[in-house]
Amino acid sequence: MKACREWEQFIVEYVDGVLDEQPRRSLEIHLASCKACAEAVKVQRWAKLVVAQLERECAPDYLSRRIRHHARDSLRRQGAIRLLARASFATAVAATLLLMLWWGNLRPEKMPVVPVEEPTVAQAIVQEYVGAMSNDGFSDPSLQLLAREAQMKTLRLEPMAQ
Amino acid sequence: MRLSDVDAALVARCKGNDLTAFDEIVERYQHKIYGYVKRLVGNETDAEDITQEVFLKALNSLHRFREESSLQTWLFRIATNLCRDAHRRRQREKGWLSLWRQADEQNETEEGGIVDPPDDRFNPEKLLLHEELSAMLSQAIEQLPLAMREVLILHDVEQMPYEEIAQALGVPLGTVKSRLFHARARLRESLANYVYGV
Repeated sequence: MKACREWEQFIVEYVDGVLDEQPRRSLEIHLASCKACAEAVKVQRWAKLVVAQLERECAPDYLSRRIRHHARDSLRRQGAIRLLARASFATAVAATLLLMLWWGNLRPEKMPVVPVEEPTVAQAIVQEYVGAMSNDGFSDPSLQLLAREAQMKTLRLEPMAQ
Repeated sequence: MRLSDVDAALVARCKGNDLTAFDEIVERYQHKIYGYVKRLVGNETDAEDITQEVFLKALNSLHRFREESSLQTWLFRIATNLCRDAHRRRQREKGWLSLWRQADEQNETEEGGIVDPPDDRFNPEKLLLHEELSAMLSQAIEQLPLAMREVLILHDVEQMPYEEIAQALGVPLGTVKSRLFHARARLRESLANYVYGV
């Protein structure tokens, strides 16, 4: 005989004496007409009573000592691990700093950079032009002078912006 | 249920690295936890090891204890999880062992060897001769599924209210009542041979 499923939780609370007034009355009315649920109440009461008579298990005397010992041991180990981790971190930082210092002292000095003036485009054109004229040979010395002046003026020109 | 004043003070001291507070917590709860664990795992050695693990785990994770439940509920929760792990481990080992035994038995039968007689520990006649009710009851409880056993012990042995059990086991309140109902019913069924007048 199975108890009605919807009453199961009410039966448990009823047997434990914690069922509220209203549902308790409803359950009692139901129990008067349902044999399966009335039987379930008996079974629940019996089991509760029997289990309550079980002897309480006591931990052996040495257990608390053992737990205390292991707790201290575990904390000591954790402390040691934390210390080791901090020491490792500090060593790593120190090693990195030393490496950086060493690299800074031993790396090759910077070579002095000699600036090389690049001719501007205008200079290049004039030079080429004057050169070509010189090679052809100016018969007129005034023309030669003009060419020379032009070359000098061009040389004063600023280099082109980068 | 919230933390009691005594427990709150102990937890605060413990969080401040006062190990004597931890010792007090152990003294306060070791028997309850041990009793619960022993009924779940069924043997003393495992019960001692698990109880020790419960307290060490509690000590190491006390900073994560948010004090939303009582210290007892929190400890029972840790114990329940550790017992479930142990149960799973044992089930796996049992699985391997039974396969091993099956293979052994098959070999012996094939070779005409002697096969062990069936286990008659649960034969009522034999039991009635030398077992007391409490021993039978313990055995019957051990036969219950773990989920039912947890609820039955916490409620009917440890006298914990439903709400605390629900918190300790991490299940809804309705599940606690339902499991309790079925655990008691199954207990009665398994002890039917020794019960008269119910």
